[in-house]
Amino acid sequence: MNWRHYTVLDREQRSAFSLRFFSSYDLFVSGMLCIFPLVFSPHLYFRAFLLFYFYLFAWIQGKRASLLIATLVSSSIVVFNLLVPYGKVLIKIGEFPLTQGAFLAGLEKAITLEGLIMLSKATIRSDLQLPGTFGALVAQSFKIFEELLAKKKNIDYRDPIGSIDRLLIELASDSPEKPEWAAPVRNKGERMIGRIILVLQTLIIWILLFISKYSK
Amino acid sequence: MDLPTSMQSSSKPPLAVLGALCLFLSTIEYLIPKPLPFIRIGLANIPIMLAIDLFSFKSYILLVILKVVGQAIITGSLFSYVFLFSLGGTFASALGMYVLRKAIGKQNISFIGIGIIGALLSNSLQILLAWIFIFGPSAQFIAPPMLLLGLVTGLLLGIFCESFAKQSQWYQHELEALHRAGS
Repeated sequence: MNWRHYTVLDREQRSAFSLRFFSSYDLFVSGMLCIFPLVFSPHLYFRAFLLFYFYLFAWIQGKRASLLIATLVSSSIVVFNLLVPYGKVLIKIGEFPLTQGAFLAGLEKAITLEGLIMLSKATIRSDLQLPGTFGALVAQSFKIFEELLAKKKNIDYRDPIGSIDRLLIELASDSPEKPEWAAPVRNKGERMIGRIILVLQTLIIWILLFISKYSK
Repeated sequence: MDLPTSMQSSSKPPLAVLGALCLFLSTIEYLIPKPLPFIRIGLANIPIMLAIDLFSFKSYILLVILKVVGQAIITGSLFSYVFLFSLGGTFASALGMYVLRKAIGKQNISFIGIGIIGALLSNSLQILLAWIFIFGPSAQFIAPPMLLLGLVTGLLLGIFCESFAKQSQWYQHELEALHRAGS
């Protein structure tokens, strides 16, 4: 295993790192297990820590996660919550009171919402395969979707209807190619390391939840 | 354009093709910056609208679920409130559009009509969810712009679907295949 390969941190390589070390199923399960600590922790700072951690974990895997957009969305949630004042008045802007209760409620919702978004980004990957007939339909759609992405240049924005129609006819008649991620897993050793990392990560988050819950 | 021979025997199920189109349009929509995470133009609703006349109710609902889950997998929002908004909004509009089109008949309500109704239903449910989960009573302030946006996007998507249904050979082929299967 060539570790030097992973020292250059451009997005494509980080994405390749995620694909080599983590199976989409393991990521999905660890994500499921981390929802509870994020949503039900009584401490806002713990949720904020998880938000920051999942942002880093998403970044490490080459996922697009903009802190600027996250800050803008969070700010808008806090501002909208401040519009209905309740609790201790912190400051008055003209006649309008900014209250502690509304501010904290807004902050809690913003951090939880952004935390869940970062958790999803970090643990949901597009090669996730769901079980059953529905899972097979999703997998088939994702295969056609990959073909569609490869042929997206054929969409003419001056003739959207005609070009999408031609593309659909072409897609419906082509035999699907197997996407790269559907190839058999050859890096079982690395996937095992990834699984251990995810188990440890989930355990630590749960331990921290209990520590924060029962410590004064 | 003549349909290829393989297309005439439908080598890929139209449900999966429309599902893929949902995923593709979701990706395009994902790349468009938005001030709030649950605000959507609704591009991925185009295949849902087109599917109303093509599939049985069961297959239609499968496509709706595929759209919501696939969209959440692509945008990585499966574990977030965004998924709940998408699920609620999509189901409200999809069911509303399907019931209207089937109850009134496609001769009496166009894609433009169901597009507007679908968008308003979707946005109304999302405002309700925003009230419950994020903004509280302040959600009343986002209701007017969101409903207005829904009206405009529903109208535009409806116009697109109406034109597509008239001009698309793929759509006509699938409609004919459905009629052949039914007769």
